[in-house]
Amino acid sequence: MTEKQLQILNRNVMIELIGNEPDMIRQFEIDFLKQAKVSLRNIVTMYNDSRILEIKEEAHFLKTSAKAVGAEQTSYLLQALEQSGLDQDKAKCKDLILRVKEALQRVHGVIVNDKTISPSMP
Amino acid sequence: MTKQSHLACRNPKVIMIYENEEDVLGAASIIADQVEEYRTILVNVEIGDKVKNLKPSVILFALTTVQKSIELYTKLISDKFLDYPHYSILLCKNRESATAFRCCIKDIFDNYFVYQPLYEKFRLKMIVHSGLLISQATSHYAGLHEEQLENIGQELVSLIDKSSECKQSLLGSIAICKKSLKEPQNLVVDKELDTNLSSKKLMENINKTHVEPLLAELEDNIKSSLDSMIQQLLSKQVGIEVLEAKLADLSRVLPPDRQTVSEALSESSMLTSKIEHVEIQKPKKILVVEDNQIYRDMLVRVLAKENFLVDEAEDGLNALQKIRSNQYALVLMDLFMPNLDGINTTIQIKSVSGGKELPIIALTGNKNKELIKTWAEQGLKGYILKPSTRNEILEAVNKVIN
Repeated sequence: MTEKQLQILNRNVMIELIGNEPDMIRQFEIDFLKQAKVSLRNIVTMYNDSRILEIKEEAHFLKTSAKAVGAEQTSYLLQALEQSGLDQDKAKCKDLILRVKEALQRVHGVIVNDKTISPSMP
Repeated sequence: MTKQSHLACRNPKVIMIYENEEDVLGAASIIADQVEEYRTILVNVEIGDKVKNLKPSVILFALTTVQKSIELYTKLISDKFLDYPHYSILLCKNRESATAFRCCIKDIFDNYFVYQPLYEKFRLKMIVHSGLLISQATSHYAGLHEEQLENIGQELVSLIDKSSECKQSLLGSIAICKKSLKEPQNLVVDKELDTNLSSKKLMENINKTHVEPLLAELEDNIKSSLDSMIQQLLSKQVGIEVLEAKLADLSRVLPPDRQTVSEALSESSMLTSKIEHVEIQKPKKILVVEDNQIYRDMLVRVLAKENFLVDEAEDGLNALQKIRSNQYALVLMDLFMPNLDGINTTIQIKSVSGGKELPIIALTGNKNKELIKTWAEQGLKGYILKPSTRNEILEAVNKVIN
């Protein structure tokens, strides 16, 4: 499975987990974006400070909610970032951080384009 | 392990209402660092309902102009979306600080803070902190001199005065409510003082009017419960006597064969089980230990819907504290957590629970098989692959609980 074969935001994941409750699903998606914004900022700081092993832990943390909300591409990249952090491969980490950022922007795009949602920010 | 984000809070004590995302980035992150139960909300047509539902203690108004903030706050009060004691903070640009100051002097907002440019982040923290501590405190600033204020347009002055009246009306209503809540208690005390009853007489009165009827009711309840238990025991006794008679009859003719004995035993056990089922089943209590608040909230939601009593902890240390003071039927626990991970928490639980086995189900990704093996050696009853579906989660939980 490659990143492109995965969905940006697979809403069936949350439907099967918490039930078909659109309002609640929206709230969790917005909460995920807020959490991801803070988490990605932490990851960038860790990278700049060369705390590569800590990136593994933060990526693992964010991966949990990415999987839970169905952000498949994001969780796939976070899994790869977790591994690169563990391998202390700084160059690969940089590439993956940028790709995670793009994947999150795509998730944001999906949520914003859903007219019923008004995502806020932290 | 990194700290979890506290920004995804669904029941915040502090909210910031904003209009332009870029304007509030700095202030929002300062408050998010300070307060766990915090949320930013974009102003839109649903803002009134949102505020009414969330009932935050502290509300920060960060619209693009002070005028807009005053208008919104006045509308929230007038339309009864804000009809309870709260602490309001006006965030403003430096050039509007005189207007913001005037608003606070006029008791519209409880405080204000210049957030553009953002210089004094600790002052913002202090204001929010004070807001959380103060329920309602109204004090008038005596040193208001119009000439000290910068020129403010007549229209805006009039809006401020109008809004001030509206806020005073709200505070007045709250004060009347508080007074009316206190009055019945005062009446009782006054009445007692007027009749000059001694403390002994008062105690006698209380005993007669409250304690004795309660004791009588309790006695009746105990009596009826005992009657019911005696009836159950008698019916069990009758059942056993019938069986004994049946067995005696059979033994006169033939020695009892295996089938007769087992039938008799099964009848007897049915009687016993009927009596056992009379007991009311209490809902089982489950502890969810997961550092990611979003996934933790989802699990809590899934389990609570199935009528489990659900408690939550954000790491192993927090979980141990809760286990010491609660009786849980099951613990769902993440592997990687800050402070104390899943494996070490499991080891600690054994000593905390004093030998009594507390079932634990692991929450894990499929990449951690070796660690799960190590964890299983410490005593796991099952595992749930994150995120899993509702059915998979409930299947794993019910398998252990039942």
